[in-house]
Amino acid sequence: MIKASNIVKNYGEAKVLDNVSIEAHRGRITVIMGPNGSGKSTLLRILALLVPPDSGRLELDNTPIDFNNEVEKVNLQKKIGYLPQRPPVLSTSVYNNIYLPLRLRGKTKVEAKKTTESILTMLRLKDRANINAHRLSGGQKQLLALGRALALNPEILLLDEPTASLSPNTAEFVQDIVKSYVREKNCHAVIISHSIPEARKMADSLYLLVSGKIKATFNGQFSEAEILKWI
Amino acid sequence: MKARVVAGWLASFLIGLVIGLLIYQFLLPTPYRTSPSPPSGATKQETPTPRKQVVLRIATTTSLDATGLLDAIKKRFESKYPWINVTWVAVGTGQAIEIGKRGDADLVIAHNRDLENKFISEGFGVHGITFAYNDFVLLGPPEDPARVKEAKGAIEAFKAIFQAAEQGKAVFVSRGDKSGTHLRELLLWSQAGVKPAGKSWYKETGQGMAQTLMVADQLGAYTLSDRSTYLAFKDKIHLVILNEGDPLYLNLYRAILVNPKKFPNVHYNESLLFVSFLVSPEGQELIGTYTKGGAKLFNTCFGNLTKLGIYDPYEYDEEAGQVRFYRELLSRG
Amino acid sequence: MDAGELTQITLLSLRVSGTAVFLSSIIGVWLGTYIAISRFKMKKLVVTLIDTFMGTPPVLLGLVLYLFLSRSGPLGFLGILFTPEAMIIAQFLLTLPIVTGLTIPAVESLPREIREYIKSLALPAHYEALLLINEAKINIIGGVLAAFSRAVSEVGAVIIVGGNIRYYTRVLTTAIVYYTNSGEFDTVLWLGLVLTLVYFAINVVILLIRYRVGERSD
Repeated sequence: MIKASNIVKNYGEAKVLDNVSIEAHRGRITVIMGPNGSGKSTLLRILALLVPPDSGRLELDNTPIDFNNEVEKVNLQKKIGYLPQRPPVLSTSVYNNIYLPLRLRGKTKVEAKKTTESILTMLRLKDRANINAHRLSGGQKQLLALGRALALNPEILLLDEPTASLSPNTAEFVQDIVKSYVREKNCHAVIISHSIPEARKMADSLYLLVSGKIKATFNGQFSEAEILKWI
Repeated sequence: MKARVVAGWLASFLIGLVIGLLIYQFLLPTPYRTSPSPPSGATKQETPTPRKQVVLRIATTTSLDATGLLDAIKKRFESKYPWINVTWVAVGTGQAIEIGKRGDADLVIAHNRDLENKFISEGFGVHGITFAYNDFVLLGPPEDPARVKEAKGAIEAFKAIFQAAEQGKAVFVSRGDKSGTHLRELLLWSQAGVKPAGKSWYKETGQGMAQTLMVADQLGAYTLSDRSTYLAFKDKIHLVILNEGDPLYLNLYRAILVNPKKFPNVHYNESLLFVSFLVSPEGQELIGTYTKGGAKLFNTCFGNLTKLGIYDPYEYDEEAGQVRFYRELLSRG
Repeated sequence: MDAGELTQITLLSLRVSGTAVFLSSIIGVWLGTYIAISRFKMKKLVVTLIDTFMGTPPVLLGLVLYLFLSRSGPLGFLGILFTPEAMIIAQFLLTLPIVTGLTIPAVESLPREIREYIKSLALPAHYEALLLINEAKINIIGGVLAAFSRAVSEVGAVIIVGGNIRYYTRVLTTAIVYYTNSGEFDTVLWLGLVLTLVYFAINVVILLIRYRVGERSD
């Protein structure tokens, strides 16, 4: 279980996150929604250990995380699969975008090859394996980035609007992949979304973040109307 | 798409070229002599070279190098001694002596008595011997506003230039680079009792003789030059010789070995062979008849400096003089 | 001067500058990338020092190196003064800060997302560096070629430690000095032409690499 308590983050004068607390449990998908500029992406980056909060605590399985301990941070980051909005691709072939991180993380050639091929097949990118990743469309890049994140077997998935630039069919496809991954590996997932149908489909818990504050929490079922009240 | 293929081939070719260049240096037989037509006859001597190759390193001046005399001497010397590769570093007089003092050369050939004497007396140089001379000439515009032509001797000439220049009628261009020529010029000014430094009519180029002549020609100025460089440029410039012949204009060339006691790494034997060659009858004849651009550039003077009115005990002492040392060396063959 | 000697001088120029820049790139690109990704207390000072050394006057470097390599100096026992090897060392020292100093902004100016992504992979430092070098390769190559241009066109360092000895340590730039000093201006013009052609070739290579690499990105 991931627990973030009383997170505060300021950028200059602006209070981006004001006393935010959320929880995410293994095997369950946590979704965060909110209007633009409400601090969602910042919260995710804090969870990804990329940015330290100004104050507040982060705990993983009841052990607090110390941002100043570089070694601990690096070890934890190995377990995190973080996808920002418009994720970047490496300047190399589509194949290498998945193969290289696997090899550099210590997997053998054989393992890496197997994983890469199965992920590419699952994402239906196999036929584009040898072209330069920069030449993919925006949506395909997103798929590739997701595949890259999943290939490394993270215990914590942090996805910032993963279906934003995808066609409805592909979006549904991604949602199914994520759901089955989380159930299968029993891992954590925190997803930022702008789509109410998507939230309803995927969320086991839902947080509504408005102007840096958690305005509402839903566990289990919720209706569209209830959400629209806040945003 | 075609352009892309071409670009690919060109890039690969260039990379191959770069790698080839980096590798070729290891395939060379010796690090030097990469010239396809080596200048000295050493390559064709298939007689088994009795000793291993020695690179003789001389520190000398740019003006001497520019005459081409060293190239001519190198050719003849190397045909007699094929295992010796004569090389030289041509810099200003001051720098040449510095290089000798640091032991970075085997011998020094210069033409500045004061610096050379210090070099020897401080123990850095041994067996120095004067082997050739030429002279400086005072050049100026044909109109000769300072009336140098009427001067009797170098000192009067320099005084005349100073006075005319102070009145705004003349300009003087100096090498200003501590070369042999420059140092001689400074000596003449001080003998004339005047100080041109800092005056607006005194231009210091800081460059070699050729460029200095060009500048002086452009400005219609007076300048001191060695006769050889002047003769090489005579037809390209308007300046003419207005004063010459004074013993103060004499330019004496001396070869000095770097002291092997201070620097055991110097090639003492080879240096001795080289300098002996310079003062041998064959060498002296080569030097005395050397011409460039049709003009004879050097006069020889081994053993007869006194003829020019110069008595130097270091060379001419009956018992310990260098002239005697080299004569004995040569007679032993 | 005949065509043979001109060829020899040109090849020597390329060999000296090429070897020097090759060595300084191997070290400088890695060093620059490491500095770019590290955060340590004196980082700003180190970067400022590198930028300062980028502008070292070649003549000054040549003189200092000469004093070191001279028989009277600490490294005199090596006996490499007045050889092409000394010239390579001089140009290596000259171009190392250039390559390092140009690699640092090449890596630091990569978009934040890609730098963060690579960092989030939590790889050992040398792998992180490798991926970043791959991302920044266009600008890094530009930096290496800028260093090569500088090396091929400088004269102060190689003339002092090389001695401008004919057939041995005379390169294009020092040959220009020699023939200018002796007034053979038409030879100087030929040498200048060859030097310009070398530049032109360097620029063509830069163009080709940018074209080839850039083409694959979009």
